[in-house]
Amino acid sequence: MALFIYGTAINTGKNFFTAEDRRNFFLRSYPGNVWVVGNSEKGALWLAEKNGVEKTKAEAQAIVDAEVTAAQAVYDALPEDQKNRPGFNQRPTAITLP
Amino acid sequence: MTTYKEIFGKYVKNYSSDPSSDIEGQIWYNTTSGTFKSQVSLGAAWSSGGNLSTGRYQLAGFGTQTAALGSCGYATSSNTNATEEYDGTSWTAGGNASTSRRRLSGCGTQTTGLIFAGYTTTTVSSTEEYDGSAWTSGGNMGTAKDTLGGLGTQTAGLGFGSSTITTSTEEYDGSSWSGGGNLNTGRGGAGGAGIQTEGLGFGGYTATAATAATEEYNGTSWTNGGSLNTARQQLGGAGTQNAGLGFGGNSGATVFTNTEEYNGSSWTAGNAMTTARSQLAGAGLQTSGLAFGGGASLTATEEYTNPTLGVKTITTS
Repeated sequence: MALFIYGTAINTGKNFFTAEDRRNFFLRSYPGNVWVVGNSEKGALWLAEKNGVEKTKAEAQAIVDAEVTAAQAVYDALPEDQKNRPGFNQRPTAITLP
Repeated sequence: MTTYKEIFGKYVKNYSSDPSSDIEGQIWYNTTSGTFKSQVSLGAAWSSGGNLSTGRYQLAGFGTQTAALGSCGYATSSNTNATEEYDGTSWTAGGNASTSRRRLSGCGTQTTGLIFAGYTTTTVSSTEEYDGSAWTSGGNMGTAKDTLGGLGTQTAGLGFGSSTITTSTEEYDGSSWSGGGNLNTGRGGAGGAGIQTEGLGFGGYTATAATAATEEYNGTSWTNGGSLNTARQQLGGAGTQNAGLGFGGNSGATVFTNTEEYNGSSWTAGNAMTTARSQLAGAGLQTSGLAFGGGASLTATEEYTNPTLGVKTITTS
């Protein structure tokens, strides 16, 4: 069985995920409103209750990749004094979903 | 076979429904479900809070989990002066700061707040004080700086380090800034927690890399404390000198979800945030922390809840 479920869902704020959710299953958010959820009954129920749209891992990765590419373009358009200085904005790098 | 009574000198009590006592480790038998149960610590965890109205990073944040303030920062493509107030559920607009800026620092409470330094189109030294609805100007810092650590209160604030990798510390008394004791490790982008006479500075970046170094301030000088387990910069901070909380941050291009708790001498890993983020703001305590903003103008807020007791059914597995 796969370790994770992949999907998109909009974080509506308070109680979108609870401490109990976090204790019950793995949960991480990524750019593009992508969520990686522990593959369990409770995890699947959470994604469904949040009106999440389940994706394949490849589909979710493609969404994240597009977001990172867009963020890199924003970074590249910054003035030079905003780039490549310790502690300042770093050029976004590729994110590989677990 | 040894019985429970032989070990503890007491029988396990029978209850038809779970008792409401908060005694960790208490064991009982639920006659309705026919199961043994116990009160156990569920462990700390992050949960979602209300979203910021204005997504932003490099902002100032302070206060408590149920009365926090977020101000200024960089919102998508420009500096903002927007201020938002959190009530434990949602963010609402507060008074705008006079100067839009990013990479600033702040401290205090939602009704007695302080923001200082930062970057407009240049590094600035200006200070503003919040009264719960509006900002007024305070005394300027001795040196213009940005990406500094901050802690304390409106009348006893502390700013330390900066993007120029300095050891400089300045103390605010409610009207003017004066020089404080120098950091042992010059840095920018450090996290801060505590008060001016019992402060905690941790993480940040030196000239070469992110640092894990932690220092404790006693109102006069900094002494070295236990290092973070994960070196990182521009992380969120909350809590006190003896019960600090550090979360998120980055080490170059790697952005963290990691949370660490400080006990006055060493850091231990806590529950990770749900969203990896850097250049965020933090507020609250180790047992009730708040993380908001950061990353690519995030609106997401997360609340850190202390270990709470809950009922667990005892099984043989």
